[in-house]
Amino acid sequence: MSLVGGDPRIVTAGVQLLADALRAQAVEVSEVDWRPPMPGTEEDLARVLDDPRRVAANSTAVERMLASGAQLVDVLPAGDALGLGPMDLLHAGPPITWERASGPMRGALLGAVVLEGVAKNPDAAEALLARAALSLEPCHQHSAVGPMAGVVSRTMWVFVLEDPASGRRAYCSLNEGLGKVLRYGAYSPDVLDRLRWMSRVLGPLMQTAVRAHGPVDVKAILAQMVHMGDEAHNRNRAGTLMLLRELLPQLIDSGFPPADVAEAVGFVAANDHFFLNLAMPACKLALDAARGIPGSTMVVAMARNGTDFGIQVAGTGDQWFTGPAQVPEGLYLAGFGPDDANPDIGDSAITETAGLGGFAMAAAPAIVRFVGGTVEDALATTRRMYEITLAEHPTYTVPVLEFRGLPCGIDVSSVVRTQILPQINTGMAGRVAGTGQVGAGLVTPPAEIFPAALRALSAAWTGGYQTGRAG
Amino acid sequence: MRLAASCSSAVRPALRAPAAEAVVLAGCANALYLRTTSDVLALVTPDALRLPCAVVSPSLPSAGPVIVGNEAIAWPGGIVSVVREWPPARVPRVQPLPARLAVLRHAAESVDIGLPRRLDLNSMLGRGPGLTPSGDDVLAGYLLGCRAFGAVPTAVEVYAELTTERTTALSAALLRHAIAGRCLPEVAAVVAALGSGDLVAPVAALLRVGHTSGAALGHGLLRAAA
Amino acid sequence: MKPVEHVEARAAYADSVTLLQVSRRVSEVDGVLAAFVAMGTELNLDLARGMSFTVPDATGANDLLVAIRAVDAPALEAATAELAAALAPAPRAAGARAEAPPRTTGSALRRGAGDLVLVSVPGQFAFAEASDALDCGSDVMIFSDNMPVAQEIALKRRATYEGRLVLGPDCGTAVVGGAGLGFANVVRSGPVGIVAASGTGAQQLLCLLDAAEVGISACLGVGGRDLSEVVGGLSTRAALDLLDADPGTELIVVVSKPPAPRVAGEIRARAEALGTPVVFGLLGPGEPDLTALAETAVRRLGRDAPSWPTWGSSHVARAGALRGLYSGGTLCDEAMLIAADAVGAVYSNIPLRPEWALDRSLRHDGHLMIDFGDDALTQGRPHPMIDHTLRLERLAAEAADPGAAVVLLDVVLGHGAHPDPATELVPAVSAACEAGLQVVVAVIGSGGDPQGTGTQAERLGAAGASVFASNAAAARYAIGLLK
Repeated sequence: MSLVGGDPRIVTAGVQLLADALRAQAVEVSEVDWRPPMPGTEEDLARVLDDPRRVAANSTAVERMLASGAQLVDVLPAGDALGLGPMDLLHAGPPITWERASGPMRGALLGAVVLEGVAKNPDAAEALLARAALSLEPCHQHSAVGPMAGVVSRTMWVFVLEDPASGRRAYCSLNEGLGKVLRYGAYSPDVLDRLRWMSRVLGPLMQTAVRAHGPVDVKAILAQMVHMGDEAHNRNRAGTLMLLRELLPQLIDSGFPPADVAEAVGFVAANDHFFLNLAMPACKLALDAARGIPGSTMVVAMARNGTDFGIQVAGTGDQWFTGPAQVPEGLYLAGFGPDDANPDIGDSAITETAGLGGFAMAAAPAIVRFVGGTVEDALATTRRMYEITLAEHPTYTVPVLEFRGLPCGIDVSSVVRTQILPQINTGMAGRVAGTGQVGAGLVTPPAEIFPAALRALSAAWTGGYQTGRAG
Repeated sequence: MRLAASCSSAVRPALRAPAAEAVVLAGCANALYLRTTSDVLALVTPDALRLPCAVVSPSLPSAGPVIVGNEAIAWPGGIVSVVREWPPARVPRVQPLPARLAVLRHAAESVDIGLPRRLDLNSMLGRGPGLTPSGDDVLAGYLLGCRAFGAVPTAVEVYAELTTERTTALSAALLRHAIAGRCLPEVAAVVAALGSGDLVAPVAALLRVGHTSGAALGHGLLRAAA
Repeated sequence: MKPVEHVEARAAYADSVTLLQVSRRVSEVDGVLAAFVAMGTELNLDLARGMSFTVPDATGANDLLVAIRAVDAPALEAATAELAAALAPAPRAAGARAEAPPRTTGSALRRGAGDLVLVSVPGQFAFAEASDALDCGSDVMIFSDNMPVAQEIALKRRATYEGRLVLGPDCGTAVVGGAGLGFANVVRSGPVGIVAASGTGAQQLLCLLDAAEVGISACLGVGGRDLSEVVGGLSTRAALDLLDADPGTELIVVVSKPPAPRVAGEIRARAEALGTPVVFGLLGPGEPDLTALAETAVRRLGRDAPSWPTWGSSHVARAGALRGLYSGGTLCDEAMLIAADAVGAVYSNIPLRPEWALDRSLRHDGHLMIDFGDDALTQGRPHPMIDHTLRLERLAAEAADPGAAVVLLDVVLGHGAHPDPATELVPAVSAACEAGLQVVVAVIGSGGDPQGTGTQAERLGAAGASVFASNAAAARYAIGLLK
C-alpha cells in the first residue's frame, strides 16, 4: 500500500512501547525480536548492505546454486580424476600444515602415505610428513570434498558428479563405513586393508555399474531422501538404499565374480552413510556454481580441518576466513566421553552450506536419537536457519513444515546481525590419532569468522558512502 | 473485553450515529456485511480486503443481533470500539499508457468473469451471481477508471438505479464509493501503475481479489480507458 | 545497617525504553536505595559508576547490567524478584504460531508481515533494518536518532531511486492511515497532508487543525536534517510527490526550521510545479508561527479559522523574568522567537543566538527557556514528554526564585506521551501559583487523544494556570504578563 490512503500493516524493530501504542490503535503490528549485532560490526554492516551490487549478486548466487544439477556419471581412481601423483595428498577443511594438524588428521595422512606405498610404516610416513616432503592441499581447492579428515590419495577411488547443464564436475571419495576408519583418523592394518579392497573391488565394480546404468540423478535422490527422514549429513539411510536400488541390476550384471558383488552390496547395505559421499559433492557442485560473484554475501563453503573452521564467501573469491574449530556436543559411543573428542573436522558441512544436514533437522526428526536433543529442537533448528539464509530450496522440501523449502544460502550479514550461527550435525573423531569415531553431535562455527568475512566484503566494496568512520 | 477496531473514514459517520440494530446482509469466514439506518458496512477481520466500507475488527460476531453506533459494534458476547479511522484508498489521476493497458488486458482476459465481452454498460447493473455481481464489479471498475483517466462516464443511468432493487445493497454501496473514487487499495495500485512504476505485482494482486472480482474490476478500468 | 548490593552483567537484551521502565519499577520497591538496569554501553557503565556501583570487568554493550542497592537482604530479594517479573517476556496472544518471531526486519517482511517499517533500534544499528525495508520494497520510518548523516544520505538516495520514502531519522512523529507512529495525536482523516522536519511542530499543527475540525491525509516526518545542505531535501521531495499524487490530499503543509537556502529554493520550486497547493511554515525570525500557519491552512480550504481554545483564568504577575520549561524543541523555539521579538535576550540551552547560550547550570537572572527534550538532557533518562521529573523540580525552583515572574510550559499529549500529565503537574502548578508565580501552559492535544485534552487542560486551569491550545498564544500571553 501507499503511505497515503489505506490501512497500514506495520513491522516494528526496536522500542516495544511503540509497537504497543500501535496495537492500541488497532494497527496490525509485527514485532521484530531485534538484538544488537556482533560487537563492532555496525560500520561494516552498513557498508555491505549499502553495496548496490548486493541484492542482484545474491539473487544470482542463489539462482546458480539452485539451478545446479548433480548426476553421478563415473567412478575413477583419484589419480585419474584429480591428477594426483603419489606425493599428493588432499585433506578436508582450509589449508593446514602437519605441525598444526590434529590427531585424526595426522592419523589419516599417515594411513594414506602408507597406503600409497610412499612409506613402509607409519613412523616413516610421519618423518616424511614432518619435513613437508609431500604436497598437502584442501579438497575444496580441487573441486572435491572429503568427510571428516577428508584425506584423498592417488589410488583411492572417487565418485565423479557432474552438473549436466554446465558440465562442471565435483569429486568425493567412497565411504568406508563407521567405527575405525581412515577418515576418523584410524590407520591400523585392517583399516588399510579395507581401503585396498575398496580400490581393488568396490571402485571398479561401481564404475562398471554406473557406466552401464548411465548418469544417476543424485539431486533427485536427495529430494526424495529428505522426504524419508534423512538430512543427508548424519542420516543417509534412505539415500543409501535408493542408490543401491538404482544400481543393483547393473551391479549384478557387471560380470564381476558373484562373491565380489555380494561382498560389495553387503558392504554398501551395511553402511548407512554410504550416500553421504554423494550428497557432499552434489552440494559442492551447487555451491561452486555460486563462487566468484562480486558483492554477494552468500557462504559457498564451510569446512573444517580438525584445527580450524573456515568459510568461503561468493563475493570474496577463494579467501578462507578461519577460526578455531569447536568440539561438538552430543552423544558418545560406549567407552568414550567429551575428553576423547577432537575439535570439529571435515568438509561435510558443505551439506549445511547447501541447506541440508543441520539445516534440514526438521525433515529428519529421528536424528535427535543420534545427536541428542528433542524433536521440537529439530523443528526449531530448521526454522531458526531461515533467519540467516537467502532462499528456500524449491527441490528439497520439508513435509512437516507444509513442504516448505529448506533454508539455504547462508548470508554473512544475517549471521552477523542475528548472532545465529549455522547449525551443523556432525560425527566426532577421537582426539588421538588412530582412535576412529567416538560419537556424533551438534556444532557451530566459531562466531568470529563471520565478522571477518563481513570486513572483507566491506573492504572489497570501494564505492558508496565513505563516511561512517570519518563522520 | 472491549477490543479495538479501525474503520474507513467513509463509514465513520455511520459508526458515530446513535446505536441501533443493523441488518445482517451476508457473511463469510472473514467478513460480515451489515446495513445500518444510513449505510452499509463490511465488518472484517485483519486478513480481509480493505473495502472502502470496511470496519477492521479482531473478531466477528457468531450470533446476532448486531448493534452499530456510538463508535462501537456490539453483539452478544462481544464489543469492538472504533479507535482509528484510515483514509480509504482512492484512484489517482493518471494518463494510462497503451502498452501498460495491454498488460492489464492480457491478465484480465485470462479470467472468465461469466459475462458477454461487449455487454452494454447500462445493462451491467446486477448482472451475474453473488453478493457483488460481476456486472457491478465491471461497472465499479469503469466508474473508477473514468475518474482516474479524466473520462466522462456514459453509463449515467446507473446512478439513478442505485436506489432501486436492481442490485444488492452491498453492491450499490460499493458503486457509490466508486463514483466518489474510493476503492480497494489493489485497484488504486493498478491504476497508479498504468501510469508508471512496477505493473506486474499490482496486476497479480488485483487478480487475487475474490474469485473473479479483481478481473472484472480490471475489465471496467479497460472500458474507461477505451 | 550497611546497605546490600547486587551487581551482575548477564547476556540479555532489551530496548532502552523498556529498561528505563524496569529500572523505575525496581527502584520503587520498598527498601531499594538505587536501581540501575541498562545495556552495558560506555555511557551506561559511567552512569552506574556515578551511582557508586562497581561494574563487573568485561561488561560489554551486549550485556545487560543489573545494579541494585537496598537497605537490607530482604529488600534486595524483593527487588530482584521484581526485576525478574519486570523482565519476563509479555505473554503473547493465544494461538501464537509455533514459528519464532522474526529476528530482522527483512525476515518479518519476507513473511508478509507488513508494508511499512518503524525502526527504533539504537541509531548506530538502524541502517541495517532500514535497508531491509528498502530491499523488500517497503517504506520506512526511522524513529532512532544518532544515525550517521552519510548513512541517512545513502538510504535516502536509494529510496529515491527505488521510489520509496524514508521518514527520519530522528523522526518522532508521523501519522499514516490515521495511526500515530511515535509521538502523535489522534486525528481525523481529511484533506491536509503534512511534511514535517519537526516533531512537536507537526504535533502543534495536527492539534490546531483538529480543533478546527480539519482532518489529515498523512503527516510525514522527514527528519530534522532532511532540509540541510548535505541531505538536500531528498525525503521532503519524495513526500511532496507522494502527497501530490494522493487524490485525498487537497492541501500540503510543510513545517520545518529554516532550511539551507539552496535547498529551500529547490523545494519551493518543486512545490510550485505540483498540482496540489503547498503552504510553507519555516519557523524563524520574520516567519509566521505555527498557529498562523494552521490558520492559513484552514483558510486555504475555504473555511474560517476558529478562535483557539483556552482554559483557566489569570491574575496579575509579580515583577520578574519569564521562564520557559519546554519538552518540545520546536515549541521552545517558537516561544523564544515570539519572546525575543518583545523582550530581547532569551537565554537557552538551544539559544537563538550564540551569545544567549546558557552554561551547564542552566541558570540565568534574565528571561530564559530550556528545552528539556534536548539530547544533552535526555541521556540515560526518558524524554520529558514521558517523565516530568526534571521539569517539576525546575518549576519548584522557579517558584522559590523571587526573580521569576511567569513560567511557560508545554504539555504534549497523544500516543507515546505520559498517560496523565495533569496528575503529576497539578500539585506543582498549584504550589507555584500560591508562591506568587504565574503559570502559562500550552496543551498540545487533540480531541481524540487518550489523555483527554479537555480534561487535562481544565485540571491545569483549575490549579491556577492559564492554558492555551496554541503555543504561540500562550507565549504572547506570558509576555503580556511581564511588567
